[in-house]
Amino acid sequence: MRHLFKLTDYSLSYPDQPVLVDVSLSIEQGEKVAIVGQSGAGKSTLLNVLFTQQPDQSAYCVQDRELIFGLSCYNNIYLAKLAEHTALQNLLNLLKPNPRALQKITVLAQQLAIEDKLHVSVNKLSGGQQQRVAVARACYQQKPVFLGDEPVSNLDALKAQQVLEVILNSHQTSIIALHDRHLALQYFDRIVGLKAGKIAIDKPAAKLCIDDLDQLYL
Amino acid sequence: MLNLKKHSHQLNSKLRHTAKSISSDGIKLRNFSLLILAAGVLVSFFADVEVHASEPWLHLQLMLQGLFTPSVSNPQSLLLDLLYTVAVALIGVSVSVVAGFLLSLCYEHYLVRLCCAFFRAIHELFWALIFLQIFGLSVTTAILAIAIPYACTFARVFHDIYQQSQVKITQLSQIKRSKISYFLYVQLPQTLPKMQSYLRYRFECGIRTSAVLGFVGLPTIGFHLETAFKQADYSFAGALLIAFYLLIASIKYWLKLYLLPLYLSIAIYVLPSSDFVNDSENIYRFFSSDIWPRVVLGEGLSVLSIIHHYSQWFAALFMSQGVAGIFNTLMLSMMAVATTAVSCVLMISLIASIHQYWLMQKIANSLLLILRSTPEYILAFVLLLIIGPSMLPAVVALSMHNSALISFLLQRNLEEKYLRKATGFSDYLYKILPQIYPYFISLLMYRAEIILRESAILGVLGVMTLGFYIDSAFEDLRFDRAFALLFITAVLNILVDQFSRKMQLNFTQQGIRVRSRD
Repeated sequence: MRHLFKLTDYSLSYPDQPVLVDVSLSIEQGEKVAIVGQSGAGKSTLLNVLFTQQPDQSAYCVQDRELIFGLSCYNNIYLAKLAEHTALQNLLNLLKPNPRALQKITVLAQQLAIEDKLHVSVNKLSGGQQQRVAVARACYQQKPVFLGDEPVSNLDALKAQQVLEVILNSHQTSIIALHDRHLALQYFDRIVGLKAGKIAIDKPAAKLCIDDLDQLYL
Repeated sequence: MLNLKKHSHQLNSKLRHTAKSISSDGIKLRNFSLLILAAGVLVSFFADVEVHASEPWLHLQLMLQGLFTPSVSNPQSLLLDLLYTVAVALIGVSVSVVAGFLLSLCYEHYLVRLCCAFFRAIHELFWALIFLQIFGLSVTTAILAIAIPYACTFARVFHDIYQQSQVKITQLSQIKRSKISYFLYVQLPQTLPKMQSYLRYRFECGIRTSAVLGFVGLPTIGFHLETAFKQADYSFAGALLIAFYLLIASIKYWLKLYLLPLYLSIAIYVLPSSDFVNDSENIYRFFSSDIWPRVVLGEGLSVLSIIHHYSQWFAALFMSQGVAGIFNTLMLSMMAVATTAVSCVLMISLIASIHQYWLMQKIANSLLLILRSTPEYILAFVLLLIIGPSMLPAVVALSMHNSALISFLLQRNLEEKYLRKATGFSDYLYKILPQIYPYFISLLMYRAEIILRESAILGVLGVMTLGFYIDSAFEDLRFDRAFALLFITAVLNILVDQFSRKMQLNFTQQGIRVRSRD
């Protein structure tokens, strides 16, 4: 099986502090990987690095969502496929939603429980709702790989599970940074634990328990 | 131990660095302020700033009496005046926002930027004087006079607004490939609220400009205002002014952007349709022969000799009228900037020191509102009647209007920082002034360019600035001279604009923000 992502002794540092130290990691197609670790442990940086390895294959849901305020949820999700339509089609879609796109996006929005907000401007939504719009935009790209930087951190436990299931079911490979250790154990095959920029844990989820992960946060 | 030493050394050098940067900024600001003041004072020795009127106080008293005893013999015609004023402004600004929006999309292009800078540098009243020769005293003249410079202003401000809102979309880098789609989905939605609020502000400016256009004979409220003042019918003038203020104050209640189509159709319906003149022959003659001096219009001249003749003619005009015009325009501007600066500092200190008296503050705020709602041109016109023909009324008018506007913006800035209270003068000096001073200088520099534009135009009222020579050229039907002098005015304005923008950015990083907000 070929490696989708591969890092060998990879290090990266900002002028005053190292962010990733000697990271070796390879991820194959079909894997579901959770990245856990304290804030500042290097999770986001790792995801950024991975994204640069497969930019065309990956849908990348970044932490600060990058939603366009002033556009409706529908158009924020539609944005994912902007490059696949002509400028004229995009203009018309602003005036009246393209029926085919609307249908697909409505299905996605139903799964994420935001279908009633589709035509509301995103700045009128709560943090959790905005987060689901960002997830919907990433899913709507229909890429084989999903890279998510805490995509469910603002959701309650039940919604978080629901959203994670949608993400995992619609992508062949998923690599998601998480804080919630229970979710990581429950939904992922493999867990990569980061501590101060180093890989402290890299094991199948089945061989780990919550105490192992708690060690990362001490 | 060594580590600690190193650390303390680092801290020391950091502190020294901060202290140095604070003092050097402060010194820079102080020196620049003193320079502005010194230039204003120095110039005033050479300028004619005397009171020439025989009984200024009597005139002022009569005018104030008129303001407090407003009377209208024909209310219907007053209403019609107001309606025309608003209609011209609505159509002019609407045309200009569409054109300006389109121009803003290609503003990166050097030629577009240059043309916009040039057309913007020519005051609306000058545009009116140009179009008067082509379209006569018509609605077309009034609308074009607003639409052309405003379109160029919109282009620049909208472009600035796009520049400020650079959105990061890391995960969707491919959408930048289609510039149009990227603009529609990413840039425009983020910037639309700012553009809308700027449009609303421009409508207010448009109504003021529309009123002033009456002074050259166009059918807006300024026309009757001029007549009333000249005939010393101060009660009627008072009524017109009060109606004008009420109109400006009421804008926020009726000007809803979604009602714009309705208002526009009413405006087009209301304006006298015969007035929409369109005479292509006139336009052709004006641009092909009227605006060129006779020396270059002879048959069979080669391009080289045309250039030679024109430059000789231009040099002669420049020496005989241009130099004096530029000199007086700059003198007036420098005095106006200096007095604006002083009166701003005084006004802000006054407002800060009366914060606990509710009534006094309301009165001060209303005065500021009235002063900044009155166009400089109208203020200068009235003051000229009171004080007599010298640079003094122009200086007073420019500094009154601009300091009221700057004080208003500064006050809003202070409110944003929750800094309104000063318990005494020292408190004001140490707590309030330092907080707003860089922003104040930046605003002053931004207004400096507008003050120069206005200084030039006040020549139409008889002050010997560039506008005086341009107006005389138009009166003598010497359009060639008018055209060349307008060119000089525009270039002067562009140069000062470059300078003032540089100064703004020099003192605050918010230079661009200041400009697009206002």
